[in-house]
This record gives sequence, structure tokens and C-alpha cells, in this order.
Amino acid sequence: MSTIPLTPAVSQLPTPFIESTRAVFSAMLGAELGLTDTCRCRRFHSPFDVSGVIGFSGSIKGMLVIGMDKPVAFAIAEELLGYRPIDIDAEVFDLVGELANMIGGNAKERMGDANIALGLPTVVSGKSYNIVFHSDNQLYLLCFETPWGPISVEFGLK
Amino acid sequence: MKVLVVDDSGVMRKIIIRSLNAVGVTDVVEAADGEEGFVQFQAQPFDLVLTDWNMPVRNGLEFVTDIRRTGSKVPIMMITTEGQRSQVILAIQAGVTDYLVKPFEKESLRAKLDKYVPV
Repeated sequence: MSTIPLTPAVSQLPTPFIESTRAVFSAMLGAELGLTDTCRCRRFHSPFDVSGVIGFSGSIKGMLVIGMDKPVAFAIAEELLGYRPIDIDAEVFDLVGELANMIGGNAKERMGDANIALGLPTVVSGKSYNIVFHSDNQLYLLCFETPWGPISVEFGLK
Repeated sequence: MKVLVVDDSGVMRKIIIRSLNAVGVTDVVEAADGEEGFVQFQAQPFDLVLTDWNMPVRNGLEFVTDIRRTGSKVPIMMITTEGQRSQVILAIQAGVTDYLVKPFEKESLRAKLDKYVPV
């Protein structure tokens, strides 16, 4: 993993995203998340089965990507919908996109800037893809442990 | 009681409908954006409208404005990630009756719904 050590100033930047991810899982799923790693990166990492992507525009520009494997996505779907999907289908796409939307929206609110706008979420299935962030984006990787397995939240902002 | 639920996320519509069912509301119509929602709204009477803000085609704010232009006083609850004060004020100015920020706890949604669901 190509990472850059966090200096004290830089270490504050992921805070709204850590808090928003925890808030979404706590409120919607009653789950407390452990933060297992935080680092500044040089490139996109997500090795997960399904990823939700949402863009920021306005005074902050960039993207947020939440990634998780199938069993985690299925367990979250079961918690929220009352039944477990058998494969990655439109409903799982929708769920992961909505998680990206809520985490992005909540982070935006925590940043306290009314001039940040969120796009509509997009979902990617499969591990063989890459996202190239704008070269002047500051890219971060947050790794969380949920009660159902690991997830990641990556974001690149300018 | 008849409720219109408008959200581009099918999963979010299901989560909301589960809460509606839990408070005894089963007569629910779904729409995936503000345009589809307004077509449904014009086609039949509703006692409560629940709508997202950020949706493709026609967003929640435009949808609420469309409803109020008809002269309807139906209660409208906006359920959205837009939680900033300036956004809430915009929504109220457009005619929103109640507001709930995502993410929300099931109990928060149910407490809001209890205000509109007859005992």
C-alpha cells in the first residue's frame, strides 16, 4: 500500500468522514464501527466486491468511495430491509449508493460549508477497476470494522 | 390513510415503507423522482407526502413547489441528507411541513410519522 504518514494538520481532514460514516451506521443500523486504519494515499485502493461512488462539487471538489464485500452488503441489506439478497442485484447497488449518499451528505454537513454540493451516487460491482482522482486531490483511505466485516471509505478532495 | 413516498433510492423507499407499516399505514404509493411523484399526486388524493430532496429529473424542492402551486395543504415531510440550516429554510419556504435528516434512527422517523397517523 502506497501511503503517506499523516501530519497533525492533515490528520484533521478525515474527521468529518470518520464521524459521518460512524453516524450513518449507528443511526441506520445500530452498529458501532471500529476505525482500523487511516492513511493518506497516492492512489485508489478499494479491493472490495461492490463500491458506491459520490461526487462533491462547489467549494470542495472530489469523490468519495465506500467499498465492501458481498457478505457485508448482504448483511446490511438484511438489517435494513428484513431479507437477505442472494447476489449483487439492483437492490444491493441501490443500498450501497444510498450509503455513499448518506455518508457524503453527513460529511458535507459536518464540514459546515453551504457551498458544497453532492452529486447522485454511482455503484461499481467487481474488483477489477480503478479510479484516478484529480492529481491535486488529497486522497485518504479510512478502514472500518463493522459487525459484519470490513469496509473502506476513500475520498479525494481539493 | 394514504401516503406518497418519493425517493430515487428503492432501498430508502422500502426502509420508509417498513416504518409506515409499523405504525399501521399500508396504503402507500411510491415514486422515484419529483416528476413521477407529481403525476401520482395529481392522480389521487394523499394524506401525507414523504419526499427526498436530491433526485434526478425533478428534485424534491421542485416537487414540493409543484404541490403547493396546486393550492394543496397536504402535510409534506422532506427526508434528506441536506441538513444545513439554509437548506432547511429553503425547504420550509417551498412549503415543507416537516423535515428529517438522513441518516435517521427508526424511532425518529416513527415519532415524526406518529404526528400524522390517526390513532
